[in-house]
Order: sequence, then C-alpha cells, then structure tokens
Amino acid sequence: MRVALALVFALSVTAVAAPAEAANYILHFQGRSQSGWKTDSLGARMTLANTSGTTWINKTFAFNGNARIVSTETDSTTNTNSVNYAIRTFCGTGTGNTCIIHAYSTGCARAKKAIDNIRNGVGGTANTLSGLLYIEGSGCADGGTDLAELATGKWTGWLAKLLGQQEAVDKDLTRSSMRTTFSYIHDQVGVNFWRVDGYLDVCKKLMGLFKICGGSYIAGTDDGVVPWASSGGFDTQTSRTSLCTVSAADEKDTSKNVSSKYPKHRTDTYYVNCNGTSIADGASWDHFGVPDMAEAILEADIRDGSALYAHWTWSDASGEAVCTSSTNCDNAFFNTNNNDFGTKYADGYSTGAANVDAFTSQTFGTTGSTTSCAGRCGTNPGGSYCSCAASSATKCSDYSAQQCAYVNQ
Amino acid sequence: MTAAARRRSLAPALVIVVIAGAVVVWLLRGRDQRDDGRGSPPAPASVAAPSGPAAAPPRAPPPPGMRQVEAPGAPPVARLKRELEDYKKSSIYPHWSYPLTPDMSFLLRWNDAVTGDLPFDEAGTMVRFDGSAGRVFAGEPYTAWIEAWRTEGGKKRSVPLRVTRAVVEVTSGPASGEAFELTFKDDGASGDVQAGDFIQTTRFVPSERDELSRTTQARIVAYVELAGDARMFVRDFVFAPRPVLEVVALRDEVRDGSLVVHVDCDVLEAGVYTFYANLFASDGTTPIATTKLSFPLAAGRRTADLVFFGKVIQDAAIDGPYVVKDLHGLKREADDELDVWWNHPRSYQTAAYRADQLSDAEWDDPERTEKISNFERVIRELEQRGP
Repeated sequence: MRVALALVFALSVTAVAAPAEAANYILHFQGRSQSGWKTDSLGARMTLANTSGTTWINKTFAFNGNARIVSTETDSTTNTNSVNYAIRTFCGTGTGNTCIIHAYSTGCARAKKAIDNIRNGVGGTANTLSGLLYIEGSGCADGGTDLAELATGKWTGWLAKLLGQQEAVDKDLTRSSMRTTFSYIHDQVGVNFWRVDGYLDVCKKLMGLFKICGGSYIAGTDDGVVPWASSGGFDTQTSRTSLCTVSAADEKDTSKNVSSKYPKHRTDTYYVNCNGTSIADGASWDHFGVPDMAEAILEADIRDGSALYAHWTWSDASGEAVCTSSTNCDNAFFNTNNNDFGTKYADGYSTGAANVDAFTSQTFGTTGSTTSCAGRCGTNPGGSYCSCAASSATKCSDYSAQQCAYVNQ
Repeated sequence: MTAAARRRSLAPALVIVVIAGAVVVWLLRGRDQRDDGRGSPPAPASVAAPSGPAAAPPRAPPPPGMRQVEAPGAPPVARLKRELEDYKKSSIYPHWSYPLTPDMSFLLRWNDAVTGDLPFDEAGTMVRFDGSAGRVFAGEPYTAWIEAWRTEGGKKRSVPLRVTRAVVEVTSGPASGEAFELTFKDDGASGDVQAGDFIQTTRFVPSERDELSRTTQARIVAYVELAGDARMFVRDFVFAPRPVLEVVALRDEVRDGSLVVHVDCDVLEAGVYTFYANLFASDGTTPIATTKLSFPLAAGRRTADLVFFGKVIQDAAIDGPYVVKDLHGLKREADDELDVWWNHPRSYQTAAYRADQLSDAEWDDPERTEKISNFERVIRELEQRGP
C-alpha cells in the first residue's frame, strides 16, 4: 500500500513539476553510408546502450548519412528525422527534457552544425539547449579526412573498395571544408564533447595480390578512415600520434579548454587511453568498430560504470605472426565477406575471411606486388607518414613499435 | 521573463517537489525496512558503491567476442555527477566568450588555408595543393599553387609537374558543377612567386566571375601529370560573391561588468549575422578573450554589440587599452550553403580600462541554471533507481 501511495504521489507531483512528457533521451546520429543507426544485414552492429531500469530512452533517426552536411537531414526544423529537429525536441530549453548525444563519424559534424544553427537562431527560433548534458563522439569526421580528398581522384576506385562508392557528403568531408567552410560549427557546443577512437586500420585485399589500407593514405594515426587530428577534436589538421594534447589528466581538466583542441572537445580518457586503447582491457578499434564501444560507454555512464560490447573489426579473423625476420611481416589481407560499407566485417567471433594468402611481404618492399606490403607497415605511398621508417634497417622493430600486427588482427 | 521572475514562479513548484520527495523517501524507506526483514535501511544509491577497484565485486569475464568498458573505480552515476561538476567549472564563462590562448589556431589564424600533403604515387612523391586563404572576401584575389617533391637523403627535392587541366567547380548553391577553366603557370607572374621553381600557380578574383555569383563554396580541380602518371587534386575555398556588411565605426564601454564593443555597420542584406572578434592586450599580440555572437539585422545602418565577458578580462589581469582584431563573420542563410563571409581587417583600440573595472562574476544565465537543474534531476532519478 505504501508503495502504491508513493508511486501515485510521485507521479502526480512529477506532472506538476515538469512539462508533460519530459524525459531523458540518448540521441544517436549515424555517419556516412548509413540510413539508420544500424544497417548491417544481421542488425548486430551498433547495438544501442541498454537503458532498461533507467529513465533513459534511446532515440534513433532515419536520415541519409550520405547527404550533404547542409541539407534537410541536418538542418530541418520540421522533418522529425532531422538532426536539428531531434536536438530541439529532445534537448531544447523549455521542453523539460534532458539528452546525451552519441554522434558517430559524419554525425559529429551534423550534430555540431545543428547545435550552432539552433543557438544562433538560424532557420528557426534560437534555443539555448539547456537540456543537452554532454556529447560522446566516436570516430568523429568533423575535422575532415585525407581520404575525402583522394576519393575524388584517380584512386576513387581503390577507395570505393574500402568506403563504398563516392557520396555527396564526401565534398564536405575534406579537411579544408570541415575546418573552413564549416569553421563556425566547432566552437559553441557549450558542453563537453568527449571523443573516442582507436588505431586499427581498415584494409582490403584487391585482385588477390595486394591490399590497401585507408590508414596508408592518412597523415598521422587514424582509425583507417578518419585521422586522429579529427577524431581527437584538434583544431588544426596537423597530423597526430596521440589522442591527447598533453596527457590523459589534461583532457579531464575541465577548468580550461584543452590546448590545440576546439572548445570543450576532449578525449574521453575516463575510458580510453591517449594511444587509442581501452583503459579496461587494452582493446583498440577501427572506424567501424568504435561506435559500439561508445554505446557501451553511455551504458556504463547511466547504469553501473561498466558495460559489454561486441568488438567489431573490419579485418581478417586471423592474426598475423609477429615479425621475426625481414621477409615474413604483414601478409596480405583477404576478406571475401562483404556486405557492409562496401565490404563485410569480421566480427571477432564469426569467420570474416576465407583465408589469408601465404604471400610474404617485406615491410620495406614497394607496394603493388606479391612481395610487397602495400599496407600500413610498408614503405607507404608518401614516405613521410608511414608506420615503418623506409630507411630503417630494423623493420621488425618498426613492425612492433607501430603495432602492425593489428592491421591483420 | 526575468531571471528573478522566473525564480519566483518556480518557487511554489520547488516547495512541492521538496515536500513530495520527503514523502516518497519516507514511504519507500518503510517498504525496504519491512521487506528485507532485518530492519536495516539500505544505503542510499549515491554512496552505495564506494570508489576504488578493491571495493568493486569481481566481474565475470566477458563472453567470447565481447569486450568491456569500465571507468576504473567509478560508482554508478559517477559520470553524470562528474559532468555536472565539470559543467559548473567550465561554464563560469559563457560559451560565446572565453579566454583566448596562443594555441587557439582556429581563432588566431582563422583564415589560413587548410592544406595537407597528399601522396601522388607509391614511390614517395608528394603533392601539396595550397591556397592564399581559407576565405576570399568580396573583391579579393585568390591565389592557389601546386607543387610536388620527393624526399631524398632527408632533403626535399622539387619535382616538375604539369597541370593538364584545371577547372573551378561550384560545390554549393543551385548550379553546382564545373564553372570555368583556369591556367596554372610557373612564370613568376600573376601570383607565381618565382619562375622555374616547379610551383605552378593560378590567380583570379572569385567575386568578379559571373559563374560564381550565386554560390559561396567552390573548389579548384586540377589534373596533374607527373613522370607520365596522372592524378586529380582538389583545393576547396570559400568566397564572398558580394559584400553583405561593412563596418563603419567601433565604440566601446564597460557595461554590466563586461567590455562591450559597439560595431556600427551598414547591413547590405537583411539576415542573421554571426560576429567573431578577438581581444588582445595593448601590445596587439597577447591574446585575452574571444567572442562570437549572432544578431538578426535588418538592412541599413545597424549596431551590433560584441561582448567580451568581464570575468575573462578580470582573470587575465591585464589592463587596457585593449586591441580588438580579427573582426569577421558570416551572414547566415536558412539554406546556409549560401552563407556569405565578411571581414573587417583593421584593428581597434579601446579606452584604457583597468582589468579590475571588469566584473569578476561568473556567468549567470538561465541557460546555466537550467542545465545545472537538469543535471541534478537526472542524477536524482538515477540514484533513486538504486544499485
């Protein structure tokens, strides 16, 4: 009886104290090549945070992740699947709601664009978004990626194997566009924009001979698609080999902005080390695996400080042996199961690859032949930002230091 | 509604909530005492899980294929409590005016072209496609250049290249696509610094081109041939096809504890205008504060009040006169593919205020108090859920 009384009383008071239907929401904004939060055929990727037993409600939105950043997908105040509409509705001042946003990849730029428009009264009434508590960003492409600049060139065909066909949003994902055309979106989120990313590469073998890895075309460390200069929230495109400017503790120091990062952009060093690994177990992620981990972070945040997630990688199910001589490093990659982002994931416990070819590839070899690496750990196409030093005589040391084993993990 | 009026209107509701909370806690407390049969009240959720890995119960290993995230030593609701404290600390300044520090490249070198080196081939040849600015304002020329090199013996060696075709491609507005062709030269003229240095250059004035009159974003697409191989490279740029706002005069005063710079301007097109400006010490180089504010402005002579938040200046402890620089912004379009940037390249010196003439008060705005209230409500709800 006391319980019933308590519930009735609490419900009645809630109705008085807060606007109708006020609630707590986690908003999920997907990235490029996605029309919803999870699009793989099995529906297993990008599992939403478990909110059961809490007052939180997951909200996903059906918008075309390939659309230009300036589009109704981002900016509409009437389209209920627009990012702008979602943030106004579920985070807006006067709604009584609170929200946490998880933005993934291109979704980070859409969220920031919408927030800036809403705050400044562009395309609709200005709103201060007092319900927005914080943002978790995974693999954020809001600083652009080198791949978008190559995706328009002769290598389009190669990159399509990695990323799918060229899409309209690619024009917005160049580093120049994200940091100049859209420079105004980065500085007024008003709450912590925590960022997570890993260092696993995204690779694909072509024509049975050699493989390409997105990271080989990206300056600095990356998740195979997006450079850490972007996903770490840095305010220039300068290549980065750490997700932190100074230290993990510095990223947490909210008494000031993190130096060399956009305001309130911080690596989430409560969960992730500056080297792109999990504090809990040392795991890392590629671009397509990191959103699941970020969902687990949100679940841990609203529940008990801990959560499980499926560790997806776009790679071979078999790991390559650690380099022991100059001739056995980094065998070519092979994955025939392709149905997501133009290829298919190995999910870590199902078989993702038909086989690993026996080609040996020297880490110092040139690319494009059966005796070459053609990947992250060879003499890279540019020579200035490869993992292994071209002039080094100790390729095995390079291999180990640059964590090349993860390329084929 | 003023903040005071808002507080007054909320007061009865707050009283109800407090009383209700006490009643609910009393009712539920009785239930717990009865159900556990031991008469010992449960620990409140807020202190139920003491921090420290040693106190945490052992966890089962994750199932195959699964990984675990964990904030070591964090009890439930710790993250949200921390976010609340973070927000309280970081919102002592408003998000639209905060300390400007020397590392803030995006504010201090706001119009630098964003450029990176790109691979041309797998033999180590690199290409850089650079530009004179990130944004090209009405009437200004835009210079772009492209060069290639290899690194040999640790030294950069320029490599000759040929631009076989170059075209300006419109990337926004109603007429996207190729607009007109360009010529790149290495002749020491028309923006090219030195003839024969293998750096190919082009220059043009975007606002003088009819093809660009209905857009604000474009890119140069250059087809480059080098040692018999060909690649395509792009150079994005933003430009103003026409002037939309002209600054006429600046004035300043200390108002409500903050430094207010009144920007008198001729607004040539009605719309929402975003203003950026940076504040420096009297030496013109020591950064102090930045501001970003937006105003709906009708066409004609208008004044926009740029506010540098008082506590930012007070905390910097630097006396004036102050120098206002980097005044620029954009006219925002509902369809903001067509945002138009403007700038005012001259600097302005304020009166010689002392830093202690500015207020030391923290930002006190309904946005802040409501957000803190929202945090507190969410935390309360999660704690009531219990461990």
